[in-house]
Amino acid sequence: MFGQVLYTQWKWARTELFLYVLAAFLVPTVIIRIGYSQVDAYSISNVLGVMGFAGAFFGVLALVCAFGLAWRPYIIDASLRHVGPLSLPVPWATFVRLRFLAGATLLLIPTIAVLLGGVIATATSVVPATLHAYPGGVAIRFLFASLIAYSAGFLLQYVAGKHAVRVAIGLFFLVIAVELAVTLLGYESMVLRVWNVFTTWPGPFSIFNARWMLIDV
Amino acid sequence: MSDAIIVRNVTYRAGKEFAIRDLAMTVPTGSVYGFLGPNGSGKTTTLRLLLGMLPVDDGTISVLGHDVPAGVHKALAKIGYVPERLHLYPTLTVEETMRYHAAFYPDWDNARAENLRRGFALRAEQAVERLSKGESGKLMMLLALAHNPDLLVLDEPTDGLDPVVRRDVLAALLEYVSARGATVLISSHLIHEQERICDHVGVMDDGRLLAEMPMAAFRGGIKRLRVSKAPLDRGDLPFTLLSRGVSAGREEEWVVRGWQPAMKEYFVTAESELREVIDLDLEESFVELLRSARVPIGVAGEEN
Repeated sequence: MFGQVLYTQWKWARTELFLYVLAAFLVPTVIIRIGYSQVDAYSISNVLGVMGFAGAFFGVLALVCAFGLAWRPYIIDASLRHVGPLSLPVPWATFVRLRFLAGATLLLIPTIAVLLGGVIATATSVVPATLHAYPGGVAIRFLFASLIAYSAGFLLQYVAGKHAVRVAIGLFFLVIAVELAVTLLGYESMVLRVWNVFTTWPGPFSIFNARWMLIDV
Repeated sequence: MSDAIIVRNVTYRAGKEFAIRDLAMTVPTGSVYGFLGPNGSGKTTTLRLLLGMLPVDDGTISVLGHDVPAGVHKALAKIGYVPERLHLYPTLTVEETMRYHAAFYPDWDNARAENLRRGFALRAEQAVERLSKGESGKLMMLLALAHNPDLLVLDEPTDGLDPVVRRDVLAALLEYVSARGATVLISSHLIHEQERICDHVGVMDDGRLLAEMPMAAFRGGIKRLRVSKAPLDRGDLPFTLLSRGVSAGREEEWVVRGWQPAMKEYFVTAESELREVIDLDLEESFVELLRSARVPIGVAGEEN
């Protein structure tokens, strides 16, 4: 069963996966090439600045991959009113678990591309003597970050169902309204506090706040 | 004979406008049960309730001996389902779709599936999104038959298909049923098609099951009577009066259910005259049954 679900999701996602792989593979190299052409490759602070910029790209790519893979199967099933999955002789929870695991497995493809892209980018660049290349570390961060974002996106989609977009938009406006009210009342920013809870260790999204440096001290 | 499907007092509300109310139906094992009703009468909703796709508000459902929804997954392994609308993933090919379904059904028969594919002239490499309506209908029937189901639940399986494809699909269905003795619950508004293949019939309208009986009783038990000097309303009718309208002069036309020739005696005792007993075909019977459910009994001429 898992093999067939995985194959189906692969077939749906293969075009976008190709784009993710292309991006993961090429963009580090491109960023480093362009960045290095603007700075002195032997200046440590300049190299770290370029790497920090490249690192932000990996975080964004992890988010895009994760939400793309999390939402697409649900959208396709919903367009067919979930009749196919519901008429299969397996409990809904089992089917959802298969969907989740298949999407999570597909995240390995851009992760491998990030690893290879990072290896090539750092191998073909000048690494100052006191710095080191960490393509494996970035790839592992990418995998964990994309898994966390994928889980959040998947959960939102399968809990909120067809109302997921409305729930997401509603949450967004709720946050703005609360923030406005808190600001008017003269209290410390609520959004900032919540953001800090989620994005600093041990917050679930703290990995996005970590150092995504291909070349670091 | 045991019953493949037993539904008792099922209620389901879908929004403010539509509800299934106190549904009770029984599909005998080995029967071909025609589920008749106009569009929007609740046939598809009922089938989805039977398959556990919708939660009942009240009542009990048993399918192939399994309670729904608790044991529905065991039942689904033995059910072939053809939904009203295409439920297949468009980007998969015919072969991939067959492999996908095979993975979920323990009794999937690859040889049967392949035979059906060839019999239906479906190309293995053809993408589902490029199939014609007829080919999609054939593929859905293939998927419903290939795991040797004991029960087939078919929701308008031939709706919109051309006569040749319809014949192919029905032939495959009947061949399977006669070889295996499977039970079939087939929903349709194509009455003449139902008349040909069904031995039991249930009629649904506005979320209620109006009647359920063997096809022979349905076909032979509903009659139009021409009555002169018709008696006033009496509570001792030996049959069910479905409708009553002015025919010509002092004659009335009655449509009745459960008619037996011996019931002529009733008119003698009521001091009226039964002038003619007219057979109705299935479609007329169906229409009369629906009309009687929608319009209170009275003299049609007086209603308007």
